[in-house]
Amino acid sequence: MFFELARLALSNLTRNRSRLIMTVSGVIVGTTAVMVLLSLTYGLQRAAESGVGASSALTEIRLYAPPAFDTRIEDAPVLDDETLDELRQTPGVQTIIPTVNFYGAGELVAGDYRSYAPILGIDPALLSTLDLEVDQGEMRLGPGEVIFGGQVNQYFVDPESTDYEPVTVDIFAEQIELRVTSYSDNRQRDIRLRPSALLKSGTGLYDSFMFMPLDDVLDLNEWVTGETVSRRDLRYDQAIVRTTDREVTQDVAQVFRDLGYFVEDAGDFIRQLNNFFTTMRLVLGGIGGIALIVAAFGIANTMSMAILERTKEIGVMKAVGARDGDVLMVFLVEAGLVGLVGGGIGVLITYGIANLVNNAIQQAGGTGEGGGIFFLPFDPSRIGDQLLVIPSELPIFIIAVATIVGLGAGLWPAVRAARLLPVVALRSE
Amino acid sequence: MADVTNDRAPMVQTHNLEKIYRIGTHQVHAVAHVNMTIPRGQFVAIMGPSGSGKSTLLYLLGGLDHPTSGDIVVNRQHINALSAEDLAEFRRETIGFIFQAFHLIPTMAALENVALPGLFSGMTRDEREERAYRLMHALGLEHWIDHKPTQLSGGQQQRVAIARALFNDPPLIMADEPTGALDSQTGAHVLQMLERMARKLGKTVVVVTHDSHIASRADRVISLQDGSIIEDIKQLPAAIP
Repeated sequence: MFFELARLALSNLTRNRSRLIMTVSGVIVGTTAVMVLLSLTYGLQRAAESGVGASSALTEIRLYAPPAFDTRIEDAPVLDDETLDELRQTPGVQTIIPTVNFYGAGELVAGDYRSYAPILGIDPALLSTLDLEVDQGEMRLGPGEVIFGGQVNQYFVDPESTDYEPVTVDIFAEQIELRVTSYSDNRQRDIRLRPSALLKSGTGLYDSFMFMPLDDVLDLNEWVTGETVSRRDLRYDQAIVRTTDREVTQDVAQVFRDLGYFVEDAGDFIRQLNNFFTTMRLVLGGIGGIALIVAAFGIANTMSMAILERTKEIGVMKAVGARDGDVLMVFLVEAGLVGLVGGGIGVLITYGIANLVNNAIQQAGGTGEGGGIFFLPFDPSRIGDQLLVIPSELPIFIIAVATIVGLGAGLWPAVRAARLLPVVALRSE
Repeated sequence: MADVTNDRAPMVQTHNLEKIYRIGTHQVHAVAHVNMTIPRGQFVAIMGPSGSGKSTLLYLLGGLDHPTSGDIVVNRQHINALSAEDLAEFRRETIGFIFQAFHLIPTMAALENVALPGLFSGMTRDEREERAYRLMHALGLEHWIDHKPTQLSGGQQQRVAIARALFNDPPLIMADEPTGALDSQTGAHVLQMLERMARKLGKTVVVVTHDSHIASRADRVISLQDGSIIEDIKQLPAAIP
């Protein structure tokens, strides 16, 4: 029955072709606008996430044991080799890399210039599991060697100057020393640093850190504090957790939080990023939606006209036994079809536009630095090859929305048609 | 369908039927206190000048309009008490309408027009078209099956409309000026078909008309003026010519 009425609706639709084409065009423009703008936000979000994701920060959690002196926490969890082995069994955890902090000030001296960088001591055997990207040098940590975070070299200042203008130091060419001060007697010692690698800048959490072999850091700590550190039952200051997948990172972080550890992850950042893009989607989707609303008025107008023209037929249909619901159905299906077809064509057009734009981006990217995408407010290389990203569920969503808009726009005219008294409909001119 | 008790009940019965139109502050009694009984199988002509309320009466009896007051019982159904849904079913099962202006759907071929009532009674397309085809064949319309209404003459259109009215085999046929838009020869042919429905198929036929030919062939002529019955003449059933 429904399909029979739908067939009738379909044949009714094609009665006034030019009007149909214009009405559907309105829906096409509306859905294309909404979908292009939404896929732009997905493209931009991907670009923004790739800026973070390159450093694999999205699969990284930093874990801290509560300080031992904080007596408010009973049974405070610790980070030692035994507990770490247990924590490694947590689902979603790929690896855990424990580190110790250097307890001194860590002043860096390069000629006249000074800087500070926190130092993390790490087991050199675990270095490869950190997924660090090297800009210069080689990824290794032999005794006495240091890996510099990507921005450690960029913030040296001359303490004698007045403007504290930061300068970048070539850590491989200049002689760099670490100035350590003993707690007890303020003795100072300058240790010559042997840089093995400078990490890529802007890739995550370690831009301003330095890595040194665990044993070297423990030695330095003993020297500055004057206390012996037990290597056997070593309490680590923190641990870097790498998860198997970015999707599970927040869940794993929550597990550790529940165990009483202090946890730091990129989750907050990702959440903010997601919030930002959700807002952006609402705003841009709303702007595109205005075109869709205009199209809805077009459908409503077309349906009102069609019903006016066919009032007598509605009377005939009722005279031969059509229920109010049958009449309603015929006109609703007509309006819904306008939305469905317009939405479908809009989706196809959007795929075409996305292909064109993304191809243009790829071409521009191919020319290297200073490629042609001058209007973008950020580095086009970050976009990769797609400015417009269409998630697989978006076309279904768009077509569904267009159909619902059609049904909504057709509802009132269809209800009016269904409620017509047969005698009034038959006598209308 | 040979239900004896059903056969004895009148096809149409009205009691104090009234329809009042409001035009501004003015009230028009289109139908005023009409009491009448139409037995089964009768061929009734309703006559009267324009504005006498005869079409309004027909639409009220057919469930296409609501009375202002009074009762209508058609085929044992108290139709002014029916819900919109039941009224649709009543029109579908009980009444076959024929209009002066034919009222065929212009986008549909003749066969689809004839089959239209079946669309709302849940028949499949094949069932509908088969029955419509047989009906058109019986009425000598088989050559016009694929023609759109605009490709047919007035007489042909009205015969297609008659086939549509017969599609669900309703016991009551109602015709509103069926020959009003036809020349006298095709009008005579349509009249013949209506008469045959009453005499051969046993249907109750109620025709609103100005046409004295129709009146002369009817079993009964009811004359209306200002919404009231002023004359009700029963005639001897005429032999089919």
